[in-house]
Amino acid sequence: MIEFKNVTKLYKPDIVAMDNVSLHIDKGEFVFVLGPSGAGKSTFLKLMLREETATKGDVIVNGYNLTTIKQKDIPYMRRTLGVVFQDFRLIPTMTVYENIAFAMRVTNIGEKDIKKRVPYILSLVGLTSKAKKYPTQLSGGEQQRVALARALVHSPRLVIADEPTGNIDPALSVEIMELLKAINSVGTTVVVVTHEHELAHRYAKRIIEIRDGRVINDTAAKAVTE
Amino acid sequence: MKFSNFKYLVKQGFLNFKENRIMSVASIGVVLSCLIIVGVCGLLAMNINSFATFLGDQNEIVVYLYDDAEEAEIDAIDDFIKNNDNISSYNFVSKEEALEEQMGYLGEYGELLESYQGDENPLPASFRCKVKNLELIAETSDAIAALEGVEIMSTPTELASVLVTIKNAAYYGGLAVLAILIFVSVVVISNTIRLTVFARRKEINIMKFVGATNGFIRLPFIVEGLIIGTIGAVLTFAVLSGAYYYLLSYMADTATGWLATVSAVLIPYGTIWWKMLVIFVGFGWFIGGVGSAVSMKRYLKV
Repeated sequence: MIEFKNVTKLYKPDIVAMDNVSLHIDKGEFVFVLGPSGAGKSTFLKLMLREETATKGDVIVNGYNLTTIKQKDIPYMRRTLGVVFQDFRLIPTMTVYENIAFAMRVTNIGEKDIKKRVPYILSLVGLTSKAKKYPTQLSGGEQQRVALARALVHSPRLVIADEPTGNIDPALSVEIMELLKAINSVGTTVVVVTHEHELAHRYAKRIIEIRDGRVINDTAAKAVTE
Repeated sequence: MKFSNFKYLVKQGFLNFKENRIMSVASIGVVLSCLIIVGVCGLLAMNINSFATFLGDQNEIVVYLYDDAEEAEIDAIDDFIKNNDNISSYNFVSKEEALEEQMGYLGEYGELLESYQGDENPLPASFRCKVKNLELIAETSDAIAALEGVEIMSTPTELASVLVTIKNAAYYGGLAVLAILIFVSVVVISNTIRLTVFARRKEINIMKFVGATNGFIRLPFIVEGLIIGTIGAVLTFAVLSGAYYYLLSYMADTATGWLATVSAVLIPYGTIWWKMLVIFVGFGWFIGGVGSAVSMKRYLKV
C-alpha cells in the first residue's frame, strides 16, 4: 500500500527533510504519523502525493513507484487515494455538491452515477442540507466534512488526513476521527498525519513517530483497551 | 471521456466566459482588431492578384509564320502549341483573316486595303496564344521560336515580368503581414487568458490534487478561447462584409474611366463571402484555442 525504501529528501541548499527513512503501511491499516512541526511530516505527505520527488530511494503508493512514475500517470495515481488537506482545499466557486461531484467527474464517472453517489456521501457526513452552499458559507468543521466527503466519494483504497484536528474545535475533531475509524472498518487504509500526541495516543492504533526526518518510533496497534 | 463529462466541461467553459465578462469583451476586441487588419490585407492582396491576372490575360504570344512555311511545318507548330502545358488557348489566324481584321479596324476606309487581297497580301499568318503562367512566358516563347517555319515572335515579356512581380509582392507581402498579426494575436490573447488562469490558479492546483488530467482542466479554458475566437471572427466578418459590399457598389455606381475597369475586375462579394467567413472563423479558433493552451502551461506542472 505505502512503502518508503531508504528515502532521503534534500532541499537546497542543505536542508535534510527526510533522512534514509524506510517504512511500510499495509492494506487496511489505521496509522498515525506523529511528529512536531518541522519533523518532516509535510515532506512525508508531499512525497506520497508526488508533489515532491525523493532525492534518493523509492516511494511506492498503491503500486505506483513515485520516483520513476511518468508525468501522465500522476493523475491516475492520485485517484487511487483520497486526501483531507489541513486547509481543506475546496474550490470556492463551486457549491458543496459540485466540489464533491468534481472528484468523481475527474475520474470519468458518468453523470448518472454522480447523481446517486454524491447525495449518499453527503448524508454520510451529515451535510445533506448544505449541498447548495458555497464553501465560504460553511463553518470550519463543515468544510472539513466536505473535504472528507470529497476524499471518500470515489471509494479510494487509501485515505490520508493531514492534521484533521488542526483547524477545528475539539468536539468536532472527535466526530471526524469517528468517521475515519468507520471507513477504516470497511477495509480502507487510513493515514492520519498529526502533531498532537494526545490525539494519536487516544486511539489504540499504530503510531509512526518522526523527528528530524527520521522514524524514531514505530509502535504497533495495541490490543483494544476501551 | 464520457459524454456527460465532456458536456459538463464545455458548459463550464461557457460559464467561465460569462463570469469573466470584462476579460471576454477585451479578448474579443483584440481578436476583432487583429482579424480586421488581417482581413483588409487579405482582401487587398486577393484583389491585386485578381487584377494582375486580368491584365495577364490580355497578353498573348503571337507566332508569325513565314509566307512560304510548308503545310507540314504549320501542322507541327499547331501540335506543339496544342501540347504545350503553359498555353491555355490559342487560335490560328490565316493571311486572309489577318487582312480582314485590318480592314475591319479601318472601318469605311477598309476598301483601301482591298488591292492587297490574294497573292499581294503582305500580312503573315499567325498563331495567337494565351499563356497560363506569366513567369514562364519567356521559356514558352523561346521554345516556339525555335520551330521551323516561325518567322518572328511577339512576346510581351517586360509587361509579364512586371505583373509577376506585382502578384508575388501581393502574395508574399500578404503572407508576412498575416504571420505577424497571427503571432501578435496569439500573444495578446494568451496574456488575456493568462489573467483568468492566474485568478483561478488555486482552483487548478486543487483539481490536480484530486487527480484531474491536464486535458480535463484545460478543456473549459479552451472552450472559452474558442468562444472568444468565434465571436471575434463573426463580428469581423460582419464589419468587413459590410465595408466590402459598400465599396463594391460605390465603385460600380460612381467609377469612371480606368477606375471603372478596376471596379469591373474586383472580386464580387458573392464569390468571396464564404471564403472570408471560413478563414476568419478558422483564424479565430486558432488564435483563441492556441492562446488558451499556451497560457495554461505553467499552472499544470504540479
